[in-house]
Amino acid sequence: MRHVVPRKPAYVPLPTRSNAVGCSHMDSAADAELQTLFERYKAYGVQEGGDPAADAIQGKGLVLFCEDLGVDPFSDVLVLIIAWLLKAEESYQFTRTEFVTGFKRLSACNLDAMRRSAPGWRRLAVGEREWPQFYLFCFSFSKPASQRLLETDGATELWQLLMRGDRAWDRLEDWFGFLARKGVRGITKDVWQQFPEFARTPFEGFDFEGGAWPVLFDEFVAATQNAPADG
Amino acid sequence: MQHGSGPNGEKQSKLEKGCHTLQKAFEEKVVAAVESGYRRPFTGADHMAMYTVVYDLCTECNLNNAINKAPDVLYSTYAEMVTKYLKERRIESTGMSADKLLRLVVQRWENHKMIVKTTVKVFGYLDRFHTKHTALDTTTDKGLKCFLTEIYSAVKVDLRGAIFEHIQREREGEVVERGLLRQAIGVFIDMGIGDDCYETKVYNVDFEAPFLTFTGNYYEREAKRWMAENSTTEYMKKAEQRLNEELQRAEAYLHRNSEKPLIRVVEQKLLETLLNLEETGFIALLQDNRLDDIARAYRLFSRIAKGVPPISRLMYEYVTSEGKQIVQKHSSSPELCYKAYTKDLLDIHQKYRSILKNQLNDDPIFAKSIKDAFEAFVNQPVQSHVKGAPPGTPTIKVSCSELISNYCDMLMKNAASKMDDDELENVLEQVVAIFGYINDKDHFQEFYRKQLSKRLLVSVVNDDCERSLISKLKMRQGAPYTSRLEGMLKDKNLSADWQAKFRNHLAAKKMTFGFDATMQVLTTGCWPSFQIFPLNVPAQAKAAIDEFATFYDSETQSRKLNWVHSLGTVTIEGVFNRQKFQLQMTTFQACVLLLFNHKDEYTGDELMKKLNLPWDEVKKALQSLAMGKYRILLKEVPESSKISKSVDGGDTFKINNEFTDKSRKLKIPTVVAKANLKHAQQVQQSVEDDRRHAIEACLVRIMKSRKLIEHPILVGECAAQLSNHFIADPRHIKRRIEELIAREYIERDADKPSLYRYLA
Repeated sequence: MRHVVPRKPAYVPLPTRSNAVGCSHMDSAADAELQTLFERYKAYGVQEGGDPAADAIQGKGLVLFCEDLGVDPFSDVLVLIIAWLLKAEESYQFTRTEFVTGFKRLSACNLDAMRRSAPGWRRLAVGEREWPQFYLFCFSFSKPASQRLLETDGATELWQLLMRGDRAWDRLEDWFGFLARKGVRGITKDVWQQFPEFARTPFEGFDFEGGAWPVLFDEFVAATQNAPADG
Repeated sequence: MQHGSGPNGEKQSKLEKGCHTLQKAFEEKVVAAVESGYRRPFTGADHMAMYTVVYDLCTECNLNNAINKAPDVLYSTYAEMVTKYLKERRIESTGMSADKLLRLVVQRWENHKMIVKTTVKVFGYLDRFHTKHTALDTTTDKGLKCFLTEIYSAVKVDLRGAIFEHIQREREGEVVERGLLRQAIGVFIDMGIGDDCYETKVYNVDFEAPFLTFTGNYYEREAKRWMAENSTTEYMKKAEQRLNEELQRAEAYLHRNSEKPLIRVVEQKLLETLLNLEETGFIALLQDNRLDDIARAYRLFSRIAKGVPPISRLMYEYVTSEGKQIVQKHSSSPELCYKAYTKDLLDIHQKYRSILKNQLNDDPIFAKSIKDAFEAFVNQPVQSHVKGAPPGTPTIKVSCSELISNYCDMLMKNAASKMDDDELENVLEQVVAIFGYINDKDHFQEFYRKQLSKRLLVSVVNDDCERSLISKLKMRQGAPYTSRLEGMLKDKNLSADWQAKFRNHLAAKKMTFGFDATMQVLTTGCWPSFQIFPLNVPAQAKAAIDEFATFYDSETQSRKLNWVHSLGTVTIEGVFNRQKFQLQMTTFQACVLLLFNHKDEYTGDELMKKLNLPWDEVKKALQSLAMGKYRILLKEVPESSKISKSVDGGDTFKINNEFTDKSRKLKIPTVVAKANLKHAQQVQQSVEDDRRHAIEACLVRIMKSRKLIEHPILVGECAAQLSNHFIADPRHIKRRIEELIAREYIERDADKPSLYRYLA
C-alpha cells in the first residue's frame, strides 16, 4: 500500500451528510451511518484489487477513507492513530467490527464528526502516557502478525512519522544511513521498543560493556564515535 | 654515732658496733675472697660470724616495745657497703682500648655478682621479713642495682662503643672473642633485673636500639659499595652470605629477641635497594639458565614483603617472550610441522615446570605468572602457508588446538610400537598440561573428535592409549567434556559384539550373501556428523543391509539406522585378462565398478543417475578409477569437448580389460580433498554452532534459577560458567540474549530495561 501512487477513484457516490452535529443519539442510526461508510470503503478496496472474502476495508479503501477525511495517508500519522484507537489488528486493514464498534466508542459516526475529533485524537496520541503504547502499536500493526521482523524500510518511514516534535532526534538520519550501510533487513521488536529510550541517551560515556542495549545500538554508537568527521 | 642517753642508748651503740663489724668483715673477708679468686677463702665460720651479728640485731627484742630500727639500719649499711666497694673500683673508661674495657667491665661484673651472692647470704635474714613487708628491693636486687648506678651508668656508652668496635671487626673478617662479647652483652641484659615484665628493658634501650641503627648504617654503606663493584649475582651471593652470618651472630652472643629485628634491618638495607635495580638482572639469569642463581634470587626476594611479585612479573614477561618466539619461529618456517611445534612447547613447559619445582619452591605467585605466560603464547595462532599454494597467497592461522590434536593423533597411531608405557604416560601428561592452557578448549575437542573417528573407523586403534589420554582429559575438564569421546570408543566395542551376534544369526538362519559383510553401528551425537547419501546399492549388498536392519530392529527398540556409505570400504575381486586381482576401495568406487557387470559402457551422467549420488561424489570416484595410479576404467571424451584432466558428465567409461599390475592385492587411492584449510574451517563452523547453543543453554539455565537478573550480572555469570570450555565474547552473549528475547524466553522489565525476567 505504501509504495503505490494513489489514484483518484473511478466513481463511488459519497454518502450525503445526515447530521452536522455528530453522532446520532440513537445507536441504530449511528450504526447505520457507520455501516454505510464501511460499505463504501470496503467496496472500493475490493474493486481496486483487495480480497473480496475479507469483510474489511483494505488497501485502496483505506486510502480513500483518508482522503475523505482530508489527510494524506502516507505522510500523516493520523491513519495510524485511528488504527490504534480502533484497535485494529491486521496490518493496514479495518474489519467491520473494528470500524463500526471502534468509531462508536469514539463517538464519531460520520466523516464530519471524525474530522472534528481528529485534532483531539492527535493530541491524545502524543500524551506522555499514551505515546509509548501508540508507538508500540505501530510496530505490530505495520507488519503481518506471523512475521517477526519489521522491514527496515517500513520502520524507517514509521520512525520518520513518529519521532517528531518533542521526540525529534537529531541523529535520526544518521541512524537510517547506518541501517542502510549495514544492510539490516528488519527491525526486531526489542530494538523497536528500546529505540525511544536510546534516542534520549547521550553518546558520551556510552556504556558498551555493561549496557543492556541491543547490539545494533552498540554498533551504531561505535560507528558514530569512530567517524566524527562526517558531517 | 651518738652515745645517747635514754633507754635506746645502749642499743644504738650496739647497732652501731654491729654495723661497723659487718663493714669490716665485709671488706676484709668477702671482698678479699672474691677478688683474690677465692684464694683467701670465705669460710663457713666467717659467714656464721657475720650472719649472727645480723640475726642478733634483728631479733633483739626491746623491752620498751619500741620499733626495732635494726633492720632499716642494717639494710642501709648493706647498701652503703656495697656502694662504697663499687665506688672504690670505678672504671675510668675514657681512653681505654676497647678490648681492655670489655674485659674490665666483665670482670667487675662477675666479681660483683659473686660479692652480692655471698653478702646476701649474710644479710639474708632481712629478706625474710624486712624487705618483704616493706617496698624495698630484695638484698640481691639492691646489690645488683648498685652496680647499675655506680659503674654501669658511667660506663655504658663506652662499653657499647667497645662492643660495636668488636662487632665491626668481626664483620670485616677478623676473628674476635665471642665469649667475651657474650658476657659483655650479658651485662646489658642483666641490668634489667628486677623489672619482671621487661627483662630486656635496659638491654633494648641501651644496647639493642643503637645496635640496630649501627648495623643499618653499616649495611647501607656496604650495599652501596657492592653495588658499585659487583654484578647483581655477586651482590646476591654476598647478601645471602651476610644474612647467614648475622643469624649466627645473633645466636652466638645476642639476646634471642634481637634475632628478628636484626635480620629485618639487614634485609631491608641489602635487599630493598636490590629491588630497585633488579630490572635486567633476573632476566639475564633466566636467559642463561643459571639455576643456582635463580634459586638464590628467589630465596632472597621471598624474605622481603612484596619482594616476589616484581620478579614474578619479570618472569612472566620473559616466558611470554620466549614462548612467542617459538610461535614466531614456526610461523616463518616454510612448512608448518606440528610435531616440531608441539615438541618445542613440551620442552619449554618441562623446563619451567622443573624450575618452578626445584628453584622456586613451588611458590604460588610464580606458578601463576608462568601459567599466565603460557596462556598468553599458547593461544596465539601460528601463521602457516597453505600447502602447495602459490607464493603470495595469504597465510592461514592455525591454532594450537589443531596442532596439539594432530600431535595426539600421531601419538595414538604410532605410540604403542615406539614408546614404552611410562614414557608414553609422561608425554600424555605433558600434552594434557599444555592443553590446560588453551582458551578455546572446545576447538580442541572438535579436532580431536574428528581425528578419533577416523582412527576408529579406518585405522587400527590402540585402546589403552586412547583410554589413557581420554581419562586424563576427563580428570582435567570433567566428564561432560569427554563423554562423546568415550561414547565413540564404546561404540567400537559394541559394534564388535553386534557383528558377532549377526554372524550367529546368519548361521542360524543359514543365510549367506556371497561375501563377508561387516557392519559398524555408531551412535549419532557422539560421532561427528557425516553426510548421508541415498546411494543405490547393488543387489547383493542390499540384501545384506536389509537383513542386518531387520536383525538390528528385532534386537533393539525405537532406533533408526542411517547408512553412511561414504565411510564404507569394499574389497572386490576383479578378473582382467584372466588375471585375478583383489582391489580394495571405497563403497562409492565399488558401486561404480559393479555397474559395469551389467553394461559395458556408461557415460558420467548415466552413472550419476544409476547411483543416485551427487555429481561431485561420482566425479571423485571416476577420477580415482580412471585417472589415478591404477587405471581400472578407460575414459573417452566426446569429440566436441577438449581433452581435460578432469571428468565430465558427457565422458564415456568402460572397463580397462588390459589392466595389469605386479601385485595381486591393490588399494585404490581416493582423491584427497584439499585437507587443511577446509577442514579447519569446518571445525571452526561446528564449534561456533556448538558455542551458540552452549551460550543459550547457559543463559536459560541462569535465568531459570534467578528469575530476575541485571544485564551485567547475567553476562558475567554466563562467561564464568563457560570459562572452562571457551572464552565467550560478551558481544556474542549479548546477541544470544537478544535472540532469547525475540523467542520470548526472557523479557525486559517494563520499568528497567536492563533487568531481565524469565518467562516460564
